[in-house]
Amino acid sequence: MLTFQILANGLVLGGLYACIASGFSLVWGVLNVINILHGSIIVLGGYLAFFAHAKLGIHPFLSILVAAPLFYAAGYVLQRTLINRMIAAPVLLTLSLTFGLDLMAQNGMLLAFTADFRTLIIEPPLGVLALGPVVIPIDRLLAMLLALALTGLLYLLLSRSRIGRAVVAVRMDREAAALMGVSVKRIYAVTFGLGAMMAGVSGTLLAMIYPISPLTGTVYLGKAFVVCVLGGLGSVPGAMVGGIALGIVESFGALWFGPENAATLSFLLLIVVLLVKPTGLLGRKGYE
Amino acid sequence: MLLIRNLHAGYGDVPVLWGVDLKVEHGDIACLVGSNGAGKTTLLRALSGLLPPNSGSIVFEGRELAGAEPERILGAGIAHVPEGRRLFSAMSVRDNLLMGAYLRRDGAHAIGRDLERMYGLFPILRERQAQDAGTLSGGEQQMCAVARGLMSAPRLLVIDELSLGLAPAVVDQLCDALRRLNQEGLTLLVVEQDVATALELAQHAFVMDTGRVTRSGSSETLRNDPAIREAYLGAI
Repeated sequence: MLTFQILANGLVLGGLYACIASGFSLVWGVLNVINILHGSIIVLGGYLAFFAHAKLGIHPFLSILVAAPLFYAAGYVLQRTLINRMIAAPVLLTLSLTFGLDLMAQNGMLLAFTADFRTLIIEPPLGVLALGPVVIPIDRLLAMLLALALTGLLYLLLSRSRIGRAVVAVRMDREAAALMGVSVKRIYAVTFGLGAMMAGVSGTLLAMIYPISPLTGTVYLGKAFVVCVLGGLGSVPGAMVGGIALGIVESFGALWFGPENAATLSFLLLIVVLLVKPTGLLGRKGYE
Repeated sequence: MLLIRNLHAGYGDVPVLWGVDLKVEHGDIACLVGSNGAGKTTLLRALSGLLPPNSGSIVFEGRELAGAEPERILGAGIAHVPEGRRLFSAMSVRDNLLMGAYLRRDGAHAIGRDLERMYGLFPILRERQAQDAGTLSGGEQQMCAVARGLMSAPRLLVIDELSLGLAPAVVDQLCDALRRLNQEGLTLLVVEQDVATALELAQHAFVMDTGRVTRSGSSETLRNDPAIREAYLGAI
């Protein structure tokens, strides 16, 4: 019976991982930029949820409505004004740029919020859902469902809308996309905006589960990295599958080998996938 | 309709075009022939804005377009079907065609009607509409690429390497479709390595050699030109 409980925990975790990774994967796939800043944006989303709740009494689910447009706009402007200038540079240079931005973000947050761990506590909690012996806190369950729903929305946006198709087209062949009249630089900014938006909203959801501190972004970044290589780079369904796979593996890993080895296990899994199927679980031709 | 004058372009320090002059009349099918490395593809890339020219002028329907962004050139009415088709391979055929209509602002209804027109022009695309474009055969891909170019509702369609790697029957089918489009009022500029096919399709032809247009005239004249016959048509 413990198995089912662990599976349920893994699924909840996995849904949140999918949300974290979808934006990271999108930016990596379309822009060929490894966005080290992604983790700090998640933490910023957490702070937004924390302060909105502490000062204004706004539930994190509602802060998403503010976080989404805010982080989208910030990401758009950052890409348009700064990262676009280096977009043609080799991947290591853009990585250095986002690494530098991340250091600035981390230290800025240390200055503004101090290094204290803060915990967002929803009072009263929504209670628990008991399915036989399996117990899931409803707050967490809703956070996970919301995370999956937002990831699903991102998928729909990319596959069904005009602007989404343009993002995918730029990812596949930027010159051909330019011939279709797509402004590639604008699509880069839209993509980075979407990535920042997904990071910000997953941060607001994660704030309900994990304590927030300026340097925790690195952990989330590691998760995003594993999920996106696991599932297949640049595809939203890949991030979903990879996220849930990682959530389940980590939960069972913690049970069997102790929580201290869960992260090691997930990186081992990453190495195995890279050896066996380097395109990721859902890797598709044309997306490499 | 299209007037290119003294166009110079190249890659970095390497000049490829050395003053190209070319004129396409409204309602014409023009072809551009020449050997490998003559600069045909470079000329098209400069024309569609992928490669900003170093100097010279490109006037289309009275508007100067040299150095403009691809977006503006497509908006002005010139669509470019690139060499090697360059379809979005993991996107469905239908989505590829819709990408062609990306800049259009005349509403989903008009775009849907043109989609139907494309399926009428190349019925195989209707059957394949939900398939990834990368799974199509070479001929089907070229049809999809031409249809994608047409979806922008251009007045001038520029095609690079129409027949390269395609079976003769497919080339005939494509040429028939292009003739029909031309009768409906579309102007065409086709780059073609197979000179015999090109001269049969087009009314006017331009011969490029080492970055210049060295000869031009009606297809009839060029077909009977001894130098052309010897260099490109294999006649002695």
